[in-house]
Amino acid sequence: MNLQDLYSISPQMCMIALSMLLILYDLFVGKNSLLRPIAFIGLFGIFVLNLFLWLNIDLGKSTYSFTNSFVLDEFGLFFNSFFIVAVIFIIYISKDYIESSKAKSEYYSLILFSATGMMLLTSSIELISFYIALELTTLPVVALVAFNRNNESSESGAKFLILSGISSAFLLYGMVIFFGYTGSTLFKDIAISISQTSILNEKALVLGSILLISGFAFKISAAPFHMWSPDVYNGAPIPITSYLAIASKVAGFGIFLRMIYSIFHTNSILIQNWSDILIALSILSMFLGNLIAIRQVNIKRLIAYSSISHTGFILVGIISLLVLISDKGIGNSLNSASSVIFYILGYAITNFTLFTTVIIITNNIKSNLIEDFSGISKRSPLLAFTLSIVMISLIGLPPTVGFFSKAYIFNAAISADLIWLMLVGLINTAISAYYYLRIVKIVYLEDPISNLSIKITMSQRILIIFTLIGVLIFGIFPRPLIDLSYTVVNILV
Amino acid sequence: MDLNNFLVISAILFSIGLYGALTKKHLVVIFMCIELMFNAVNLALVGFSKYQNLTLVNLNGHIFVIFIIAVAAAEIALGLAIVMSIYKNRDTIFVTDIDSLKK
Repeated sequence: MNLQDLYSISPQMCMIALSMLLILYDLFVGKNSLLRPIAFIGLFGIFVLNLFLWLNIDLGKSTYSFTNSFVLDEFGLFFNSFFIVAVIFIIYISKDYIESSKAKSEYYSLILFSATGMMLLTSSIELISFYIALELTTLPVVALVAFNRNNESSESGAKFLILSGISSAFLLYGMVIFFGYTGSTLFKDIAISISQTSILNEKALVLGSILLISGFAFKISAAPFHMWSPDVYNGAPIPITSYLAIASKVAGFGIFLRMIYSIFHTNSILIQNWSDILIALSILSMFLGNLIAIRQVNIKRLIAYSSISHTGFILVGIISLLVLISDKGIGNSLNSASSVIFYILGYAITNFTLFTTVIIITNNIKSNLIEDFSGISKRSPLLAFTLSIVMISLIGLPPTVGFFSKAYIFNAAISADLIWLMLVGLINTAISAYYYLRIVKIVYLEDPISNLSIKITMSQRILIIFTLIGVLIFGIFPRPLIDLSYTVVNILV
Repeated sequence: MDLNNFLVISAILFSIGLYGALTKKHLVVIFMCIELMFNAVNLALVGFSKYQNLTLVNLNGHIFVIFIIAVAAAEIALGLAIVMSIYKNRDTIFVTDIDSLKK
């Protein structure tokens, strides 16, 4: 370990230091009112540090550190900044929740620990560090899900912990098979040895990759490994629900892309197998997520099923990427990879807006039922308008960012000759319009249950308008996001 | 003794653990079964790094096992805390009774 090593993972180190600082500050000083400002200032500083690293790396070149365990490149730095922004957002919207809870500093530092895990995850290129980062991501989130310690919260924590334990075991078994048949834990050595294996080894590697995929599918909650997500989303405190829906899922896709591009692209049989399995997962996720979402009466469960169907759409992008790698070579898959990143960004922006409005509404009406949203337009026009724009973006209609996300994913599917998969996606978009527009109908056309207007504080109003502008502006000028997603994946290819 | 013995035992242990985790009703027993799955993985790892790469001095597998044991311990600590919290809330830790989110 030398200074260069520390430099390359300095954002992650600073995150750990910040979360330690918050816990120790609470222990020794105990002024709870200062925790939030410290967290914000610290996160802002880390964001600037991350930008500094991003501006100072040599373009198109990766720096390896800790004997090839971690890598410093645009891909990792992009995800670092994504998770920092997500954490700032989560802490911002959980103000009301933190004020009502007893353990304040623990809440902040658990979120920060988990975000550190995600940042390490997307920059790890070695199996052991990958596994540790994955568990560092999951375990704090389990604690946060059970944070209320009431009936629902602890129940969903237990479900999450059991299922994530089983899925980690699957993932580990897959990793062990890869380690055993290649003799190395480094991604690049594994990539070299799986490109020249015998038939016998190939069968073992197919088994290993099936186990790996089932572990990943759990993390990104793709059907049929989605069973945990509705219950956990429902039982968790709602800011943590948004953390699960946005950051956790994006981390899963980040490491998915990293693994495909640093290990599996070298072996065509494995790529073939992956795309076959993922096609099944993708179609199942889209149909299951959308069809079950129609029957939901609880907004948190509806968001869970809608995010399962979005997983299906992102998987369409990954499938087309795999097909392009096996048909035309790795250089031609750049478009599909960037469409995946673009979808992730669009999904995150839309969900930020969705959760901001849903948190304000549910805090006010003290209910998670969709029917209690009736007549919100008369009680707060801004919230109703934001909610309907978000729903339009989730369906994928212009002029919102959701439209371009879906358009690029379908474009990627066409360029990989997967027109039938694109049609499945279109059918699902139509199905999803039913339950998204039903919410708009309830909000605008039904009679309000009470005439009291919903109070929105100034900071909430700023956040709503800010995120709403994000949804709309990138729906009209998507160019900056597209350029960004190209730069990010360029380094992988 | 060769590699196959280790792999067969490890696969059997993994299956027993998975079966237990999916069928048992007691929360603590379920956590024990998950632990069994992790230990099956550890056995396979040790077997691989002892017998597969005779030409290389490769300690990665052994180091990996240490890390897995540490993480599994952390997971169980968290699990027991959650079990306590469930028991305080509803005086039972049988998963068949823990179904308030399904309604």
